[in-house]
Amino acid sequence: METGFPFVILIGPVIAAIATLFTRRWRRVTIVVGLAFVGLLALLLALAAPGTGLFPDNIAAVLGREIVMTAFVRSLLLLVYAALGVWFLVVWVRPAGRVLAPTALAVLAPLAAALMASPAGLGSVFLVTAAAVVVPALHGGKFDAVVPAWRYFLLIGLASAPILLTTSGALATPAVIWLFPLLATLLLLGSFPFHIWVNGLNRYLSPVVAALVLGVVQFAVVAFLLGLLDSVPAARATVEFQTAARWSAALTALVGAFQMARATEQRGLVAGAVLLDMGFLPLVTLSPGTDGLLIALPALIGRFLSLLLIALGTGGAGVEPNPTRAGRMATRLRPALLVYGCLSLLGLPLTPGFAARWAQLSAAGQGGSVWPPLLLVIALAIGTAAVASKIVGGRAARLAVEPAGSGIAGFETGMMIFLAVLAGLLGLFPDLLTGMVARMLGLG
Amino acid sequence: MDAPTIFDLLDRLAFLRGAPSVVLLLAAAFVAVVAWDLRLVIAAVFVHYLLAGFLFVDVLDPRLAFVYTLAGLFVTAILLVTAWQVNWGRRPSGLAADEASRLGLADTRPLGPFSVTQPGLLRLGFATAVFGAVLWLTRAPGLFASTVPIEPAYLEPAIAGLLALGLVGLVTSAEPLPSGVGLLLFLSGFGLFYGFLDQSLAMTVALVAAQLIVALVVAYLAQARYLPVDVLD
Repeated sequence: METGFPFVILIGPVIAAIATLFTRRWRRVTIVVGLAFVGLLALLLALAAPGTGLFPDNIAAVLGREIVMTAFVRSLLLLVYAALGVWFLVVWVRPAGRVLAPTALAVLAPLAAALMASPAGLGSVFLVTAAAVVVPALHGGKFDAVVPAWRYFLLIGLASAPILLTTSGALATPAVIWLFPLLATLLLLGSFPFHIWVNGLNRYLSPVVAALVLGVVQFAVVAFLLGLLDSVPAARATVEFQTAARWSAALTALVGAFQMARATEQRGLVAGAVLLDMGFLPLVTLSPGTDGLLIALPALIGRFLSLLLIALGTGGAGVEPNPTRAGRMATRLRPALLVYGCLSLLGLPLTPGFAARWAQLSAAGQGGSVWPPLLLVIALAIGTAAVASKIVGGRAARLAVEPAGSGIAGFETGMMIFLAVLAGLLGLFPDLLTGMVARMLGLG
Repeated sequence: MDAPTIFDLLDRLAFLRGAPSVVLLLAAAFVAVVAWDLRLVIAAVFVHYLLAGFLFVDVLDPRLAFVYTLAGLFVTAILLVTAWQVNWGRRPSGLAADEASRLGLADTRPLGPFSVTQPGLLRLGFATAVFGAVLWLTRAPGLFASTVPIEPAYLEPAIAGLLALGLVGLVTSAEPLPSGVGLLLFLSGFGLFYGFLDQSLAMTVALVAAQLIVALVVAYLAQARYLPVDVLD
């Protein structure tokens, strides 16, 4: 039965984005409005449980094509909304531009459309739309960010071609059946040799924006990609695809590790750590069906949390210390959160990033060659040494971001403690994250 | 007098359909990639969209092909306004040498009556090589034999030429405008190819929308690259 409910999930975020555009002069009002809209959308989605909820059988039709909200898409969108809610709270204490809140809300619409569109090929155009929506946030008014932001968009735009060819099955002769799925994977995930935008962008990107684009947005992008690869199991199973994905992962992680080793400032170090973490993502494409999702989603949640910790852990440079008790506590917590966030990006034990890292390393080790897993371990070692010497040892110039402003030191400290405790729990009990994802998505 | 329909227009311009369209289309795409003056580039993009429309008639319903051409005109209009706002690709007037260097504006060097840049020469070389390869393809068709029917044999070099010239354009420049023109040419060629796989209204509209989105992003970033406030203040 057509209920038209998917249209609410597509149009709702656009209305929210327009509303926050009108209030963008008042940053905190914008955040409250954004939080309210995200809460409302999450509530509507919670009421739309398939079969039993307020809006059963969530199907809509447009131009002769169906938009279907499956139980998985609904759960994934709930996860995205929850992540966005936490992200808004961090933006409260770490402002990063006026267009950020409208962008974060607007991008929800094309992402939801990409996940719900049928056939999947249509989703590639919605991914291009999502990339276009985040471009102003990536640019952030910085001249040097223009080229990396353009490269990011360019590669997502180019990815639409292999995605469409994969879904159509065209040119899929046995000799090159793996080619288009592989190209789509590497282009969408920003893996070697299509990683050219990652480092450049992360050097100019606030960790808050990175948490949005490389965290929240990636939930939908990776879910879309895994769905695409599930539609071509023969291509994914080929030796060529598996070998190329493993080598691309290893080389991306190595490039990230060397960038961390060469970094002279914390910004470059964080950029390298993000690239290193992105290097592990192609490995999730090696596992079919729910197995891939059970590695990918904890990995992305770990990355999202890590970037939020880094966002809260920065801001000390050039900012007058807040004289209140909460302010002093925030000042003391910052360096610890920064180090913990970076180590979590590397996926070391006792950090939330570890939940998926072991599974990713295992996936890398299942190929015929010993080199990709070995190179990945070497990359992790180089990255850990870089964090130890450059942040803990104080050899890298500190990150300077816009100060949080006076009067919210208590809230800032509260957020820091909340995220640190959450990350610590997930680090201590990695199965918690995997189990939670499995239950939430109905996969376990 | 009644206004001519799409089919009347196609009848009147029948002499352009087929191989002549392909030759002119590839020539326009070549100019769009190698020209250094944005006025020439925009004119070439405009001609390319008009001629691509003729080829889309062989692939899609003529009304959908017309929608594609119309969208191309909008894309051209967006690029035209952008190119005008960025002073047709010339460096901003009154810019000091150190500011120009900071903005990464390539120095030109004289080559006979022209002044050229290093990336410009690179583009010219690659585009010429691609043009030669496409000419060779016309002698030995069958590259897309599994998808493109043999009968309109002229479509194969058009698709291959647009894809390859588009890739040359987007690989040889990091700047949003020239690289964006390359992406638009690539998407044109891909749309032509994909038309044989899926002729549905939804997919045609989606691909047209993708081109418009690309044009808007190019416009936004090209203006951000020109006279950036954070560098010059």
